[in-house]
Amino acid sequence: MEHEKLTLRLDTVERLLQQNFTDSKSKVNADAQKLVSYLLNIFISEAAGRAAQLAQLESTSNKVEVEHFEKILAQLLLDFS
Amino acid sequence: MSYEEDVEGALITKQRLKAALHYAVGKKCEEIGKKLNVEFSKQVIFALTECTFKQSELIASDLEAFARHAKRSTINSDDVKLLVRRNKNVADSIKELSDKLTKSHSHQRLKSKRLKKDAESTDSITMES
Repeated sequence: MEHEKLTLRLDTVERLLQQNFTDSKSKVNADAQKLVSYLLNIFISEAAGRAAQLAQLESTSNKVEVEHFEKILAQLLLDFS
Repeated sequence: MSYEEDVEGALITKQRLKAALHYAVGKKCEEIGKKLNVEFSKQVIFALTECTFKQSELIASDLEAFARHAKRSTINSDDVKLLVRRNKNVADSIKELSDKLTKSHSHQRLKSKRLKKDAESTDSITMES
């Protein structure tokens, strides 16, 4: 867990969340921001990792295409719902 | 006229956010690509950015609902822990990070308390002498 650098900047995460708040007064505290950033990080890594694994299994080239991504998408969304 | 300007303004912010997210997703895919020795096509990176954006919408609305349910206007780490409760691995990871963050907070508080105490004791010493 240590080596997972937080690629997402914290203010990007805050603005990303604030875009979808129905109440303008809603805010996110600093710890929660870090946790959500970490969560999104996991989401992106899982998606990329699963798609890459599938691409390696299915095709001979080492390029990950949309078809691979589409195939892992259903399970990914269920895992994160 | 100003309603349209507002809509346009909101769209521009949304585009900027997506662009920022796109950059981060691209970086992460590059990292993973190097590790697993694969290359991600541009469409995949676009698609993943869209999905992450959509996912963040769901996350935001859930977190806001949880905080409001607890009669708070600020989302805290308990709300995030509630959000991820269904997936055990994710829940454990989030809990681990949350505990680490609270630990570092209490260390900070102890440190500043000690510094304050030291400062006060040195003050009293100089006063006596």
